[in-house]
Amino acid sequence: MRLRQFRLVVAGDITEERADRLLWRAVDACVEAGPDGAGWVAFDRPAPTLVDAVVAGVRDLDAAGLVPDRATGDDPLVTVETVAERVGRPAEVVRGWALPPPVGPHPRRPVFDWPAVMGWLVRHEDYLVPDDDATLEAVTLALRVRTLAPRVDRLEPIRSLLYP
Amino acid sequence: MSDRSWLRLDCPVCGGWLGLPDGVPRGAAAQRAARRIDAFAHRHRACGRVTR
Repeated sequence: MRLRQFRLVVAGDITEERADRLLWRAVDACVEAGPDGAGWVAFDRPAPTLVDAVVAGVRDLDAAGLVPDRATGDDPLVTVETVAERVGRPAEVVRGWALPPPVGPHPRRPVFDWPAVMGWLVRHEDYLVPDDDATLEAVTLALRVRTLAPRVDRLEPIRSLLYP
Repeated sequence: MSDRSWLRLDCPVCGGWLGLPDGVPRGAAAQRAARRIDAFAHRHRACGRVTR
């Protein structure tokens, strides 16, 4: 099973109690809240497909009382170990590459911008960029429909639109 | 005293925080958790010190 990394942006406050319930249930999740309490949950989840991983993540948030607002790509800030895991090469090998300069220089743990690194990998290591956008957008649209559902007379005719 | 069973890092300046499972096993899972911490710390570098 491949590692799937993505985020679910949360609507409303991420309280300590809800984070407690989520992290007790999902040991591959990580919660990040801004000063206003809003934020996201990032996942490092092994799954057969991205959609399996994202839907399971939505269920984890549901169970914790958190409201997922949208699915989005993973945190763009990565370490050498993240890059190594994504390209399937040892971290020692990746450290030897002339990657774009880190956005967060650090003697031991520099932080890189993934889009910049990805561009470099495509040019120098024949990296194939995974096409995750359609899946993340489809889940986001499903979450929007779910939010609107209480205000819609009947959902079945709308659901039938999925099958032309 | 908190009975929290997960790790929380706080930015004392802006109030943002990061929560991640405690007791992550060594290896790949620990590297992934370390990456989340590094990214959070980088985002809040402009704010100041990040505390546990």
